Formats: sequence, structure tokens, C-alpha cells
Amino acid sequence: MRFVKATCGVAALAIVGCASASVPSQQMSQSQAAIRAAEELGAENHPRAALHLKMAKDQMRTARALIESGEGQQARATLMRAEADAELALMLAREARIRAEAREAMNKVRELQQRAESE
Amino acid sequence: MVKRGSILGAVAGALLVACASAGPSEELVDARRAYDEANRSKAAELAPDDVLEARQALERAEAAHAEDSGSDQERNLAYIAHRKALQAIAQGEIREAQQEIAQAEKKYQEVQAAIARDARRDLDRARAELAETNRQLATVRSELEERGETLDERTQSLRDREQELAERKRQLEQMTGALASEREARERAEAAAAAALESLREVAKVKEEQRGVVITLSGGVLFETAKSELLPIARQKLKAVADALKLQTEDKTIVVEGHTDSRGSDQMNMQLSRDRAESVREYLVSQGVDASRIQVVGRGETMPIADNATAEGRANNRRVEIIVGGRGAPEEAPPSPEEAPPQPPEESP
Repeated sequence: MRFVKATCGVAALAIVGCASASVPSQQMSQSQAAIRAAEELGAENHPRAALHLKMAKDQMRTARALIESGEGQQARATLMRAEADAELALMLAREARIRAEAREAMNKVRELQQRAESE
Repeated sequence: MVKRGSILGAVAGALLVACASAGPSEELVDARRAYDEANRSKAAELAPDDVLEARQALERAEAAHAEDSGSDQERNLAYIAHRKALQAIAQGEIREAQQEIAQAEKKYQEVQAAIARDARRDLDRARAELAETNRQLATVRSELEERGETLDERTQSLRDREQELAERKRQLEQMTGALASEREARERAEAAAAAALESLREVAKVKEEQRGVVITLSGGVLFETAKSELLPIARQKLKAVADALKLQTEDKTIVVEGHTDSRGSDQMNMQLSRDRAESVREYLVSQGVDASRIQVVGRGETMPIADNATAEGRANNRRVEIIVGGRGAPEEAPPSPEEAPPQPPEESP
């Protein structure tokens, strides 16, 4: 995946270098998938994750506008930014979620210890 | 190494800004700072792959910057590198949280095990206490049962003894009653005997002598001269004698002795005294005195108790004596004591 992304990036640079009019549909769907994944993990419920999810979505809109106006190269770059933000949002959501789980686990331990001591 | 590189980069950036107008873009500055942060964070240790990826992204941005400072390419790549660095930091946090969760779960199981161990220990202790309590209870119960049995036995033996005592008491009462009635009867008999004796004294002379109780009845009262039939008045007197004899002398021998004064022949007197004694005996028997107990003896004039020279003395010598309780019949009046002048000293007052 990472390898694919890297090659895509390189390929995109190469394309940007030589051609300008190709529609970055693969990048588009990749970014959209990342956004969906972040949403599914509840990124909107965590402030930092929500911020980057919003950035990703804004950039998706910008990219679509750029594609409309035939500026494929810029659209591709914007989509890549959107993907990076979506991935970050996903990661931050995971972090928030797992932090909560850790807190929960530690609370459970504390409660159990208190119960053990009180008995 | 990395840190020194980033510092060199920053210095180089600053130099570039100073010399040329095209310094590092805002995005690249942010990316560098974020990468430094990631590199210092726990991600360096916990998420090295992510940090490496962030570094590669930064290197690409740096390359673009070196190639064409301030270009869109640089800014795009720096933007992405910035996010990659933040992602690495987040990954570090995630790994740490995962470790915490794993530790918490382990700890949770340990505490649970400890609780279970304590609970089991408490349970074992409680069971042991219960068993001990039950054991003591059983001991107490068996002791109680034993005592109950002993108590039953004692109660039973006590009841037996009570019955025994009641039986003895009953027997004792019977005996006491029998004794009392016996004593009463004896007393009554004695009283009657005494009364009879008392009434006897009114009609006859009664004397205690060695040969027994001697009841002397005057011959003048009993018979006409030279006769042996009882006078009516004699019957009255002899009735008292018979009553007294019946009451008092049931088991004693009775001797009836006839005596005369000295007038007339000895032989006739002997016969007369014997006939008179016989008359008295017959009367006594007719009044209920056992005939077999009565012996009859004629003494004639052989045993005077007074002087035959005077009328008074002769009257006294004419008599019948009833001797009670002697040693049976004395020798039958000697068959021929006619001539013998027996003078027992005690008979001559």
C-alpha cells in the first residue's frame, strides 16, 4: 500500500511533468476511501481528527473544482493533500478511541482493586 | 544524527532566507518542526516504521525544496510530510495506549486471581470454621444425649426407689396398724382383766403367793353345812370368778382346792372338800372356763388357815381356794393324809 502510494506519487510527478489533462480518478477514489474510513471510525467526534477530516473534505471539493476547470495537475496534488489529512484524521480518531479504551481499562483495574481492598 | 540534520537544515533554511528571497515554504517549516517532534516522541521507539515514513516524506519535500525552493511541489510534499509526522506521533500514542491496555488487562487478571485466591482462602477458612463448629455441636449433642440417658436411668431408679419406699411405708403402716390394734386389744384385755380382778376382789380374797394367785372364797357363803351344792348367792360370786378367769388366765392352769374345818371325821371332810371343789369346777366350766385346765383337789381339814377352836376360826377354815398360774396340779391330795396333821407354817396365821 505504502509502496503503491509512493509509486503513484512518483508516477503523478512524472505525469505532471509530461502531461496535464489526465483525470486523477485513481487518486480521487483513494482519497475518498481514506475519508470514508476516517468517518467510519468516528473522526468527527474528536476535535483534532474532525479538524483534519474537514480539511480533507474541503480539499476534495477544491480538487473537484480544479478537475472541472481542467487543472488536473493541481487537482492531483490537492487530492494527495486530502488523502494525507484523511489518513491523519483516521489515525487521530484511532488514537482518541484507544486512549479512551486504555483509560477504561485502567479504571476497571482501579475499581477491581478497590473492590478487592474493600472486601 | 537526525536531529543534527534537522538543525543543519534549519540553519541552511535560515541562510537561504538571508541570502535569497526563496526560503523554505511555511509548509516545509511546519513539516520539519513536526518531524522533530515525532522524532523526540515515544513514536521513535514505539512506531519506528511510521517515523521512517515521515522522514522519507520530509526528505522528498526537502529534495523538492532543494530543486526548486518555494515551488508548489515543495509545498505539497511538505504538507504531506507534516501530516505523516503527526501520524507517526499519533501512532506512538496508539502503541503506548495499547501497551497500557495490555498491562491493564494483565493487572486486571492478576487482581482477579488475587480476589479469587482470597475468596477461596476465606471460603476454606469459613468451611474449616463450620466444620469445627459442627464438630463441637456434635460433641455437645452427644454429651447431652448421654446426660439425658443418665438422667433417664436415674429417674427410673428414683421411681423404683420411690415405689419401694411407698411399699415399705405401706407395710410399715400395716404393721403399725396391726401393732396398734394388737396393743389396743391387749390393753383392752388387760383393762378388762383388771376390771374383772377388781370386781373379783369385791367378792373374794385375792392374794399373790408363790404357788400363784390365790382366790379364797368363804365356804359359808358357797355351801350349806355338810353339803356340796352351791347356794344361789355362791353362783353370783363364782360368776365373777369365772369371768376373771376367762379374761386373765386363758393359758394358765387352775387348781380348785376344797378345805373344811376340823369338825367331823377326816375322811368325811376329805370327801366333802373334794365334792365342794368339784361343784365349783362344774360351775366354772358351765360359765365357759376350759374344763381341761381345771384340776380339783380335796384337802379336807388338813390345811387350816385359822384356829378351829373358835367359831370364827372354823368359819375361815371352811373355804374353797382357786389357785391360778401355778406349775400345774400339785401332787393330788395325798390319798390318805387323814391322820397326818400337816401344819405348813404359812397356813397357820
